[in-house]
Amino acid sequence: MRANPYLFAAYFATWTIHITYLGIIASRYAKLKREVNDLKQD
Amino acid sequence: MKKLFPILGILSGILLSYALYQGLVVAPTEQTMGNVQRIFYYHVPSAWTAFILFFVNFGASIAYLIKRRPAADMVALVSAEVGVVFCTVVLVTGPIWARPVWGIWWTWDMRLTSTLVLWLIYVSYLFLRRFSSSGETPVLAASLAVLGALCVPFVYFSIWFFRTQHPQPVMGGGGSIDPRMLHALLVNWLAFSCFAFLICWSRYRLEKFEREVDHAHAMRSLRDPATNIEREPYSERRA
Repeated sequence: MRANPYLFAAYFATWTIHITYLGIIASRYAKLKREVNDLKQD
Repeated sequence: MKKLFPILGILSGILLSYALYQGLVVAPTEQTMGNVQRIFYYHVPSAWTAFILFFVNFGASIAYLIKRRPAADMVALVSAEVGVVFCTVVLVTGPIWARPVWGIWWTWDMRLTSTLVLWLIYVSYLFLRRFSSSGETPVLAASLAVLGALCVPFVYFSIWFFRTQHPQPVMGGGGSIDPRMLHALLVNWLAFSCFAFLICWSRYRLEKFEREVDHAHAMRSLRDPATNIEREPYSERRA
């Protein structure tokens, strides 16, 4: 199969969107965990 | 349940890798479009997954309107959010395919325009959920979700009812498809459906966790009002 820039761009864009969303979920989860730790300390 | 999540994650990863191999290596090259046609193996399954998630959102919204259970509201929110992510993939990969095949990135034909309108409806739904702090927000959002779901069949059948530039449907459209192409398409759909389920599961856990923390803060401020000076509910801070 010959490399095609449009095909590469589409697959790359798909995974960029999914990984960005997963990153947002992970950062919100980490922020909440910090908050729960603060709550426990108080 | 905690052990099941990583197992499903690994299975989903293997399935996605196998689907990528099917789409890039096993499926034959289409004669007129060439390798650009392989974009379909991501574009079409993403569209189907988004439609399923919007229907889950519809069902959960109806359930919430009838029974007012918070779990139904959370399922509605999560499915709409993940559905928007998949619909975004559809709206991004579609123009990337159209540029070399049609010579244009976008055209205002019925399928493309209705998909964009559908995406905008669900983005408005998410904006409503995030920026409205009224107690009636879940009810208003559920009503908007019912309206949005009515748009899904219109988007799907628009290529039957209107003359559009968009290709005819892969299944049920009267055309034929190479069995290896169909296999690659279905494997990709299965892989993306598993992946979507996992994301929904993570997002549901996060939503539940956020509501529990909100509740803990509310209880704490009831006990000691002085601690509530600098804090507002999590739902409002997320905005």
